[in-house]
Amino acid sequence: MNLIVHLSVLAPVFFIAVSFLIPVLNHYKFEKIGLLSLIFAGWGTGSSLVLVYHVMTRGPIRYYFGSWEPPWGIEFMIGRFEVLMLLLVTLLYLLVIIYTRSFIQEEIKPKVVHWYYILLFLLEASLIGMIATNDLFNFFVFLEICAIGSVAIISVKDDRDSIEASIKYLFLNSIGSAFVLFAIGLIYMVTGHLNIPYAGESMVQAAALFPRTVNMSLVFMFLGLALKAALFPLHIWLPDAYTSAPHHSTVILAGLVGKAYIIGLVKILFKVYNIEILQSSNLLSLILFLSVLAIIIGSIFAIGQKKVKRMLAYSSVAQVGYIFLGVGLLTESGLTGGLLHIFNHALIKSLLFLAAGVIIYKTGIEDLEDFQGVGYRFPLTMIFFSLGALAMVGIPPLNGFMSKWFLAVGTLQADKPFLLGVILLSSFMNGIYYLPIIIRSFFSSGTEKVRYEWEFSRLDKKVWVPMMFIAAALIVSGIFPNIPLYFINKIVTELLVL
Amino acid sequence: MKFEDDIVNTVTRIILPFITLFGLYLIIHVHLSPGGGFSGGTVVGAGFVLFSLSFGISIQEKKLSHRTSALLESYGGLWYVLLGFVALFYGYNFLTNDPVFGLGQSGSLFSSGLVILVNIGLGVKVASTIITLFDSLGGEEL
Amino acid sequence: MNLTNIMANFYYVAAIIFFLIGLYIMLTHPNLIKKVIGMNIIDSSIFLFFVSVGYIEGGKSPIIENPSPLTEFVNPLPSGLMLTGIVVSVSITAFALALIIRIYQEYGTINVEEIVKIRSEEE
Repeated sequence: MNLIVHLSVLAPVFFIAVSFLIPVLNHYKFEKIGLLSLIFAGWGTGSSLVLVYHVMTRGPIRYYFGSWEPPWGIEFMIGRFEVLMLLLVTLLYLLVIIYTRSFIQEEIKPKVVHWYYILLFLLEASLIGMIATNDLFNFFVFLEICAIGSVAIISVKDDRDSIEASIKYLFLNSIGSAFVLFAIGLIYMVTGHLNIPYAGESMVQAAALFPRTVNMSLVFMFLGLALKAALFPLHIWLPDAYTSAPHHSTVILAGLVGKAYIIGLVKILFKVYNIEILQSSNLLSLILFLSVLAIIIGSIFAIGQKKVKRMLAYSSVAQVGYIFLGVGLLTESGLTGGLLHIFNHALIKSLLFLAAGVIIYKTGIEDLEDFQGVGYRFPLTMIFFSLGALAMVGIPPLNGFMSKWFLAVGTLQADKPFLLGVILLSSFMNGIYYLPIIIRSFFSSGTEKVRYEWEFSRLDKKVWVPMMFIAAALIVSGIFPNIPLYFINKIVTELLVL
Repeated sequence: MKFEDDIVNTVTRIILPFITLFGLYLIIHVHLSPGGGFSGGTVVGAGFVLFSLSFGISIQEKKLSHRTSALLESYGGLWYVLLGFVALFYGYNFLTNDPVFGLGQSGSLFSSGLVILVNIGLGVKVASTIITLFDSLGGEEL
Repeated sequence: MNLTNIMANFYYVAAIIFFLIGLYIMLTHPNLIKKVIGMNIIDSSIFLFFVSVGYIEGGKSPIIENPSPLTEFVNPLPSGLMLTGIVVSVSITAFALALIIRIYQEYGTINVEEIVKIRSEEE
């Protein structure tokens, strides 16, 4: 491994160092912290690209910290799936930081702007770490950094709503962390390992010797991470948090933070516990039950909402249900669909929130009722919003269709046609709450006739270029689903064979 | 506000050097005895908190201002990361200790290479974090 | 499960009881400061649990100067992990307290029920 690969694997360390560096620079009155943050985020994206190249040509990377080999040391394992997720995280971060730079004065006081960047980079470090790490306790540490970071980027707005939402989020987050830590303690107690593959090996014996302890740790781990990922009955913090956060923070919260927890949960469920333990416990049917509830009730709540960000937040509750449905099916295409939906939903939701953010910043319109004729004033933004909405409903050339297709095939493979009905029903419900916005904004101009006014001259390039990029990714990954699938296929077979 | 209390002030005057010395001892002897950067740093930081509780935040501000302690916090973290990167230039993984830094005689004070260096940074970081936390949570009104 | 079994593992039992006490406080108590205390009780119960996982009755602290094969050592790893856990717990507590100060400035109370009442009156 040469120096470049070393530095790319060490992206979390780099970002933590960056978040120590920014206060120092600020102390010496360095002005251009926004530009510098852009460069740092670009570095992150570059390092992910290096990792993609390295993993595709030479296979997965195992990085031992301090040259201590597992089971003693901390290990980073970056395979194909992890590389895809790292690319997603760092690329979205780069785009969001480009977007943030033009709106940051709107919601964040000038005095705390540099702190906002620090929080963003701490959060990015923790997300990368959670995805890449192969060590349970290291996972917990990143989990806690992520908890603090994600709460702090909500509370940085510093008004009544966001403070109230963030303290609720913080308390629930800390309960979740406590459950996860307890589960890790139980796993360490019965297996004697913290490294995920080693713990998985010892788990076979341990499950025979201490079935109660293993089951307890399984339930605790699931509860903790499902609380953080907002699976249905545990989602109560989500709508307030997403609604009251600054709009650019919401993109990161909705697009990335919940996903990293789910990736961690999937890895732990299938690698530490094996499929026999999962099947002998009732956890999988519980996951299926909760995800069906999440899909249906999340959609019903979304239909009832009046504010655009709240509606998108409840739609996220439903989409988290899809991902868990894919995990709970335990079939090849079900799991593929679930993991693919992590990727697709991150792209779609961030596009929707970016577009909604532009509308709210520029016009102040938050109620869905007032969207009449917005499409005439902001056609480009609303085209992006509509693309996202259509992808969410699952219209074929867009990527949302592919993940729903795989999930549907997965339900048939698992011989549960009832769940196929749930997926179809919820697609209709997605249509019920997304399509009226498109129709209202483009086709009901109110009383007088209005001409389309393209906003290229009014809108900063920093705003529409990121949205355009994500929209292109939406279409490309919809037409060529083999690109994300190339990265996902391998881990699905690995996880289901073990 | 400060506690106008002679007993507290006198006792603080007497025990503060020992608290700080004990904290530094814990930091330096990280590889020889229980303790280390975190515990030692907490002790040193707690000493400072005691100082500002009994003599008032304004006098503490003269000795170690809020800005300086926030800066020291960053430097402590950066020092840690920087030491980790040293190993990369020798061709080893991040934070490698053994061949890069000499280990020395086991049991002597200057041994174990990286560990003691890292823990000095950690001690500075933790001590200044405790002070900064205290200052920003309640210190402004004290 | 007999009584001797429970008595031999009373650290674990205590950890679970403290965990439940903390959880109960966090979920039911309306006062935000008491919720933070509940959070700390949960964290302490987990620290107790972890440390007792590595503890051996009569074990020595694992600093090896004259290694002899007969000595039993306490497993240092869980204690080391819990040092990290304490750091995390301290930082979350500090953050929560900072947020509570802001809540008090905005709403004039730290009672959840009153905050909910104020918010519902606003809407």
